[in-house]
Amino acid sequence: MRLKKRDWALILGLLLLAGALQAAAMLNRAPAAEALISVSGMQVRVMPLDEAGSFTGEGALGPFTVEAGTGGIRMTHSTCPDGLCIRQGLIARTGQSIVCLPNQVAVTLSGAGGPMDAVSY
Amino acid sequence: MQKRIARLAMMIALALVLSYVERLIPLPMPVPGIKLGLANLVTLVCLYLFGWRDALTVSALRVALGALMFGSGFSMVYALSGALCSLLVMALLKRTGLHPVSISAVGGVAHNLAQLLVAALVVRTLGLLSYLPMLILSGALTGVLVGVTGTALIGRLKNL
Repeated sequence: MRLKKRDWALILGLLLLAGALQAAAMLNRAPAAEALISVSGMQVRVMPLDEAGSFTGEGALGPFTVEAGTGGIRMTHSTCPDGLCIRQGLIARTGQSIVCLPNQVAVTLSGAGGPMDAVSY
Repeated sequence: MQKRIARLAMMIALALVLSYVERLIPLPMPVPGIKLGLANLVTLVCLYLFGWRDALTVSALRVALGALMFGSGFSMVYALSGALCSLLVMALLKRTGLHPVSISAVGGVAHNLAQLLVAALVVRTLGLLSYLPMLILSGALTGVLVGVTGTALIGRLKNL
């Protein structure tokens, strides 16, 4: 089988799509102001990112701890088998998130005043 | 019949070995849960050599066995959604006569998208969609990698 033009077009199209989406996402990035922490879809805590603080909550599998400060937040402990959420490190821009899937914990960042970065009337 | 069972069992075993081995390879990208998806190689090869029904059998069984051996109940649902979605998309695209490399690329993207959706449903957070670009990129790239290898295999395994 030979690769035809439409194959190249398809693959290139996918790569361009990814690039375009990433560029669009990056344009909307701004330093985040607060983190929304939810467990199994329910909001349990909102933490400001400029004050140093930590929060320990109960996930689906067990406790988890996040630490905020200097404009960012990170997961320092979680009861999950992989620890991918901890290895992700610090996030500090709006739209970024840390998710511990087994524990059903999600930490999402937004600008001051909730998920809306800008509102106009 | 016995030949079919032996062929499919061999494919399942191969897929399981691949999904174990790929965990040993560290990836430079920071996106959590990103994998090479090497086991999709087996799905692709089965799709072309044996048809979608056998590919479905192999895919479902290797996800189930893989989850029992290495994962958990939840990881099974998660992996199954990716594998089944990917197989569905690839089987449908196969009818258009696209090259296996392209089909595998789209399959890889579909796999990641399905898993992203499941993850977003579990934690009820749309913010996860910020991973979309990286998942499309990695899905396409690993899909191409798997597709190239798969094409070589399909050519050589015609007599299986």
